[in-house]
This record gives sequence, C-alpha cells and structure tokens, in this order.
Amino acid sequence: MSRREGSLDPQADSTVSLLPHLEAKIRQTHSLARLLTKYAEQLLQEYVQHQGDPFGLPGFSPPRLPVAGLSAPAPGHAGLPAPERLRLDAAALTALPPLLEVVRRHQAELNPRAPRLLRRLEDAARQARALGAAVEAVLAALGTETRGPRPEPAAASAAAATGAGVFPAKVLGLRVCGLYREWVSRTEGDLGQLVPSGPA
Amino acid sequence: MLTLKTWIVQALFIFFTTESVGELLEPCGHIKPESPVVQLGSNFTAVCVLKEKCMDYFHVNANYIFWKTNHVTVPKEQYTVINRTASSVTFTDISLLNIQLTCNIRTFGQIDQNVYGIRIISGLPPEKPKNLSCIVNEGKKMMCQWDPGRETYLETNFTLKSEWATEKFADCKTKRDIPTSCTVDYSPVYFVNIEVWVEAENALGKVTSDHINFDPVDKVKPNPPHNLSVSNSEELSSILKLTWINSSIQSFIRLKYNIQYRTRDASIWSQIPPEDTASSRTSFTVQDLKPFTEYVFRVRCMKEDGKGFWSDWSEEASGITYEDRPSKAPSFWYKIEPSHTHGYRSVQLIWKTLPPFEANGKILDYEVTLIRWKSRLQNYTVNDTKWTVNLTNDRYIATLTARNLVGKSDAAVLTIPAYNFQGNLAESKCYLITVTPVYTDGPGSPESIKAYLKQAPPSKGPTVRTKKVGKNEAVLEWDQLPVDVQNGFIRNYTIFYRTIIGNETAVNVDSSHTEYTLSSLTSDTLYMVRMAAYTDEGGKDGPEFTFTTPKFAQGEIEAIVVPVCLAFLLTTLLGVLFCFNKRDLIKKHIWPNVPDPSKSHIAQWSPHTPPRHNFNSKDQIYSDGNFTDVSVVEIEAANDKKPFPEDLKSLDLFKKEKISTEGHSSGIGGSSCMSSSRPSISSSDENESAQNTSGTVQYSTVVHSGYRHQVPSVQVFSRSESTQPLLDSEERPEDLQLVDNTDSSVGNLPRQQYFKQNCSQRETSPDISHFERSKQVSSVNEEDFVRLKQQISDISQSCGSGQMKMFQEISVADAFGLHTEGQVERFETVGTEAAVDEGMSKSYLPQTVRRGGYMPQ
Repeated sequence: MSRREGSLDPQADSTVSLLPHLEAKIRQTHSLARLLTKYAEQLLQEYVQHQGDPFGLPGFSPPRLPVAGLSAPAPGHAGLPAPERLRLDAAALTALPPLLEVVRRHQAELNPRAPRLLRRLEDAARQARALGAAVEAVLAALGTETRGPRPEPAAASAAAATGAGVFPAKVLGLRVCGLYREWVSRTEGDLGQLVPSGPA
Repeated sequence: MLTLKTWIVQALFIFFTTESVGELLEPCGHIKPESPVVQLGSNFTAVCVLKEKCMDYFHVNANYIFWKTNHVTVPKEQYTVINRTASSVTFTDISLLNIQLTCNIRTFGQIDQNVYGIRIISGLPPEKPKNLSCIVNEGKKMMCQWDPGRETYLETNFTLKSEWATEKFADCKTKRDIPTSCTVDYSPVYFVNIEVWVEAENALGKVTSDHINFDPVDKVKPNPPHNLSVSNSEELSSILKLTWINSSIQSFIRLKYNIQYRTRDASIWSQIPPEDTASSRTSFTVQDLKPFTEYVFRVRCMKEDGKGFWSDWSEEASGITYEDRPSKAPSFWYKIEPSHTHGYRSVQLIWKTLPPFEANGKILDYEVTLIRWKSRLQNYTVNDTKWTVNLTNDRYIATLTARNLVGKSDAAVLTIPAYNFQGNLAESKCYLITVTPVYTDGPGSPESIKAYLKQAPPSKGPTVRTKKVGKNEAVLEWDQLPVDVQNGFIRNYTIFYRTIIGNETAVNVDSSHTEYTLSSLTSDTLYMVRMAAYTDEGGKDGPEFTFTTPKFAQGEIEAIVVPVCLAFLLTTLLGVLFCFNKRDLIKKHIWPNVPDPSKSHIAQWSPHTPPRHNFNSKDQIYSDGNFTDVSVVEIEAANDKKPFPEDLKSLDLFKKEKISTEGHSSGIGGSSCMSSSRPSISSSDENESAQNTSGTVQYSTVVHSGYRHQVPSVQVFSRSESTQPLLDSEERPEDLQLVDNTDSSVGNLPRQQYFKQNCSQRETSPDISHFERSKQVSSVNEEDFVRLKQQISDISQSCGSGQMKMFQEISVADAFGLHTEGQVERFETVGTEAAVDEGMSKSYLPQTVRRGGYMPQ
C-alpha cells in the first residue's frame, strides 16, 4: 500500500517540518473524535429506541456491568499525562470494534428491520478502528510507544454474554454503546488539550 | 449490421442442421483460436484444421482451403499450408474492429463449402485512468470520476477501489453507460484519510490509476445555505441584512461564503468581496445599496480553507431598501394661458415625476410655493404633476419640492416673469440665454449660451505684471477682464514690450491664457510692457508696467564666489599645513634660539656609550628643547686594550664624516657643552688651531651659518663672556673634590655620560655627579682642567671597554696635538703611551659628530 497522506512517519518526507504536520494530524484526529462523539450519541439513542421497554424509560438504569477486555475510563484518567491518556484511549478504541460487531450481530437477530441501527453499529466499529489508528499515529509522532500489551479479545466473552439471554444481551449492547460514547468523548477531550489554539 | 445478421443466420443454420442432422452435417473442420480478441494494429494468425472424414468425402486436403473475411476471399499469399489437414492465414496490422473469418474448401465442381467460421474482435487495452477526483456531496455518498483514456472498442470494466489505513471498502463497479464515475455505497467518514484508485480492465489487459489519498472533508460540497431572508433598516436606507441557516456540516467545519446580489430588473450579479465573507456566519449586512430599491440575493458556501467545492447557490431571496429623501428636485416649467382676465393670468406649472433612483421612495405629494415681488410666501400641496393657478401680472418666483415618507427634495426654482415683460437688451452687455424644451410629459434639459447684442472694445485693458523675472526672460501674468468691462468676447491679447531705446515688440496671446513668458531679453535692462485685450470690435490697452532684468542670473554670483572662496581657503590651509610641517626650519631661520648664558650649564658625562656610528639625528635625545642645533658626543673611557677592528673602522667612518662637516661645526652652548672654537676632530689643518687652543677651555658657540641665511664671511666663534657662576662646584670646590673621591669609587662604570643633552633618561645620580664634574672641567680653570683630566684618567682606568679606551686615546692625542698624522696609527701609538703614562693630562675627543653640530673636546 502506498504511503498515506497524513501518515506521521517522520522519515516519510524529511523536507516537511514535522511540527505543522503533527499539528495538522492532531487537529484532524480531534475533529474525527468530535464527529464520532456525535455519532456515538446518535447510536446510543438509536439503540435504546430499538430495545423496547424498559430501555428508554425515564427511570431505567441498568447495572453497569463490566465488559471483559474493556473498562470504563477511570476517574483518574484526566490526571494522567497526555501520552498515557492517549495510549489508554487507543487501547480502548482497539477493543471496541469486536464488541460493537457482536452487538450488531445480536441486533441483526433481534431487530432485523432496523437497518439504520445495524448500519450505525457497523459504521461505529469501523470508525472506532479509524480513530484508534489515528490516535496511535499521533502517539507515534509524539515519540511515544504506541503498542502496549493488547487486551485480550473481549468479543468471545461478549458473544457468550449475548447467548445467555436476550435481556443480558441488550444490556451488554447498551453497555458497549455507552462505553463507545465515553471513550470517544474522552479521546476528544484528550486530543483537545493538544490542539493548538486557532481555527479548527 | 447486415453482415452481422448474415453471419448469425449462417451460424444458426449450421447449428440447427448440426443438431438435427447429427453426424451427416458435422463440420468438416474447425478454426483455432475459437474466439480471438486481437489488439488493433497487431498480427493475427488463424489455423483451419480439416477432419479426415470430410477430406475423404470431398476428396480435398489443406491445399483446398481458402479463407474469407467478411465474405471476401483472403489473398493466397497470406495462407500457409501447415500439413495435409491444416492451413493457416495471417493478418498483419489488424485495423478492423470486427472481422468474420471463415475457412472454406473448394470441392469438385468448383463448389465452395464453408468449413468453419469465427469472429475476430479487435480493440485496445485500457489506458491508465487519469485525473481521478472525488467529491462528497454533503449527506450523500462519495462519488469519484476520472478520465478513462482512449477508446478501447472493447468492453472495459472500471472498478473504483478505496480503503482506509485500517479498512478495505467494497469495490465500486461502474455502470456500463457511465464508465467514468462511480458512487461508493458507504457513507464517508470525515477526518479519516481514504485512499482511492481505479482499475480498468478488458480482454486485452488491466491497468491501475494513480492512487489519491485525501480526507473526505476536503472534498466536501456542502449543502447550500437555506432559509435565506432579507430585511431592511429604517435607519439606513443603503443596507439590507441577509440571514440564513447553514447546512449541518457547519457543526464541525468552518465555512466561507459567496454572496451575490442584483437589482430585480438586472441580469448581472454583483458579488460581495470574498474577503468580507471568509468566515462562518449566519448573516451579513450588505451596504452601499440604493434606497428604495429591490435587490435579489443568493448565497453559497464552502469549507473555509478553500478545500472542497462550492455548494450550489441558495434559493434567491429579495428585499427592498428603506426609503430616503428624494435626491433631486423635480424639473418643472410653466405655461401661461394666452387669454387672461384683467389684471390676472392663468399660469400652469408642470413638472416631471422623479425617476425611482431619484425619488428614493414613494412620492407622496409636491409642495409648490409662490413668491410675488415683495410679497409673502404662499404654499400649496399638490398631488398631481401639474397645477394651474391664477396669478397677477407681477413677476413670481415658484419653487417645487417632492416629498416622500422620509423627507423632501431640494427645491427647484422657477421665475415667472411679469406679464408685460420685454427684454430691454443693451449693447455691450453679456446675456445668458437659456432654452428649455417642453415636452408633453414635462421640460427637457435646458441649454444655455452667452450672447451680446452688439460687441464693443473693452472698457479697460488688462493689467499685466511680472510673475518672475530672469536674466533673459520674464514671466508675465494678468487677470481676465471682468465681464462688465469686456463689452464683447475677448478674442485675444497683445503684449507690447520695449526697452527705453529699443523698438516695441508685440506678441499675440490667445484669450484663454493668463500667463506668458517673454524670452530673449537683455540682462540688466529696463523693459516697459503693456497689454491690450481685443474683442471683435477692437481693443483697449492696459497700464504700462516696467521691470528690469537682473544682471546676473539666479545663482550665477554664487557660482563664482563660492569656488573662489573655496580655493582661497584651500590655499590658506595648505600654507598653514606647510608651515606647520616646516616649523623647525622656519623657526631656525626666522627666530633662532639664542642661548641664554644665564641658563647655561655644562653637559653631563654620559655613563653609557650610544652606538658609535649612529649619526641619525632622530636617535638623539635632547633634554633641553632650546637647542635647535646641538651635537651630542659621547666618549667612552679608554682602557688598556687596543681598539677592535670594527672600532677602527667606525673611526674611519667618523673621520670621513668629520671631513664632510669640516668648518661647519659649532659649539652652541659652549658653556654647557665644553664646545670648542675648532672641530674636535679635524684635518691636519685644523690641528694647528687645536694646538693653539688645547690649553684652554672655551665657552663658545660657532655660528656656522649666517643669521637668516646671511652667510658670514668668516667663521665666527663667539666666546661666552658670561660672568655668571657656571658651576655650582666652582663655588663649592669641596663638592668637586667629593665627587672626585666618589669617582674613584665608581670608576668601574662601563660608560660615562659626557653631556646631559645626550643622556638617557635611565641615567641616575652617579652620572649626574659625572656631569657636575664635567661642568667643572669646562670652567676656565687650569687647575680644574687638571682635575678633570685626573677624573678621566680614573675613568679610563676603570673602564673595560676597548672602545672607550680608544676614544680616550684619541681625545688625548687630539686635544694635545701630539700627532697630525693619520688617526689610526696615532691612536695605536698614543693609546700605548696613554696606557703607560697615567699621569699625563688628558682631553676628550667626540665619539660622534652631528652634521652642523659641534665637537666638544
């Protein structure tokens, strides 16, 4: 594959100053995170709409079950150094697509006539991968080790959870969509601190 | 098409007969290749293979094969019989796109049998697709298009491929009727770079375009702004405010805009300067519009950084600017009815409606005022564009203003003459005649002209004066004559000028000028000038004016004086510099220093020996600046050794120098320098005088050159007659004695400083004591002289320098005139004697002789 525009390989083009290139990449990734935050919000709303009662009811608050291989952003996340935060963001974004795919498959069984939801889930998985790759590219450009220990694939355990019953599967889907929104939003915030002031 | 049908029919016939009849109508052979696709311009070879059964049946072999293309027999030159059953045909440079090729045999009886047929399809491989570009219409899928290159004449498939760094997307296959563009079936994701390329493939090959990599947001074509509305401002009639709603893409990218507008009836759009609309916004106020005018607007947008595409134009919206007061008064005129009642007349005032660009709003009514001569104002409000009123026969002044919602226009003024008005035109008066056409809908544009009933010469001539006077020219100026005195149209002016004695010269000048330059004037001359103005009826002279041309042109005097002054200053400066450089010489010749005997003192013996052959006066250091011509002599005390050869050599040089300065050495300051009236080292002639004076010490000065260049007839030796005590030691002989005693203790000094003037600054008190003793020696005291000799003798004994010894010997020999022969020989001899006889009185010879100086002894 040819070299990508926007690649942050410092050796790719030595004539171009890295700093403006890095700045442009951070800005682009931040914009992507901002866009995906909006999409994630829409996805969550769409997901809730299609799950029926009690999902969507005002007082419904399902338990925040832990998802294997993917944790929620820690309360102390904001206190970490920027590269560390981005590394956590990238790891979470890498873990999300398989989970979203499991949810999509389950929703395809439960709601085959909700193509928009299914497409959103499919798009969300793809977009999470793209955002994760972009964050890793930023980390690489910042000179930070991007590849930490990969979490164990959570898809298998998630798939097992969906097999336990419809309601737990719906709850898991809600949890995954919620985590997707949280991590994308968190990524947006973390990148926002790196974006130089000026026009977006 | 016909050929194709024919071929199909034949093929179907063969097919059906084969199927129905079976073995009986089995083809006699076949052609390879079966379905060839050939590149245009290339070569192609087909082979027809006959079946044995058929060959036996028809009694033919491969030699009986002949080929046809599109029912035309191929020349046999293109055939090749491969073997008994096979024959080939070769085509070079295939140019036809579609060829029907048949293999035939000619059987007995010249009956042609078709054996087999194929269709050759020819074309070109696809070219590399170029100019691949993509556009993302907001809210829609991404569409890419490209230039497919040349026509291939074959079915060519174009596939648009795309991928992220992390994903591959499904291929986008073009529709057959639109092979140059493709719309992907996935929603684009902004801010993620995507790589896109095209593959073109047909039967002859596959080729891939260059890959392009971009962020879809940089290829976006936003939806146009919507809900465009226009509102005006009651405060400002020249503005309209546009408001709109941006497309949803504005939530994550910034936009810039184009705003265009035109008046309702115009067809050309004007555009707001793009730099004013280069940032995201939802409203814009357009300025500099005409009041009460309807404008139509439209807006479009694109990404602020210019990447991407402009949106379509928004729907148009219009608005009307607010009214402003009429910008011009209406034109109006009057008509007087021919019949009138006694004392009154009917006057109709008519005016035109203001055009919209002057009315600046809806004209509500008109206000007419009539002012009779010395009467009060009468106001009338009229809604129509004409108004009839009965007026007296007096003269009236009518004014008209138009009024709209905002205000009134300026007033148009019209004079209605009195009934019996007759023009009493006078001659020689200028009249302005104005004609205003009156049309059915009102008056037209008036035209005016100036006229005279009868012209006359001007009452006064123009007054000319000078504006600027030069050496050879003068600029004259004058004022236009007032209309009252022109009495006609001024056609030209004539300028008369003359000197007192010269003839008058006349120059004609056009009447439009008010200035003229007289040239070729004589400098420093009085000129008289006057001017006449002419109408068609004659002219009139003005008053005479005199002026005098200057003798020199401006700057001429400066041009002479300044260089002269500069030259004088330069000469003076050079003179001063020269005098400064030669001040010593000048001082010597003009006011030489005359030694003051009262300040005389005896030079001190130098304790060191300067370079003996250094005759450079620059190296001489004079502690007393009053001496302008002083030679300094240092004498080294002799020891017992013989002079070194180089010393002898230097001595020889010294002798030569002495000869060259013979008769010119002087003993300036002799009282202080032990100078003598004779050269200290001299030729044999001088030795006589040396002998004569060797017994005395003279305080004398030899004036070797005349005062102020007066050459003295004889050598003048001036003897100091000073009666002042010269030496402290003279008054205090005990000091001298003490010094003597001291000398005996310091007699081992290597050098003796003989004269203070030649002393180095490093010399210290012991040297001073020697100096003091030298001064004592200088006194005309034989006893002292003997003591001096004693000192010298002591010094000589203590000094280890051979040179010193040598000069001591020389001085002794010379001073006492023991020898008149060559110096060297005598030195050796005398030196030996001196070494033997220590008690012999000694004198001193100068070690160095300065030109023009003196030779102390």
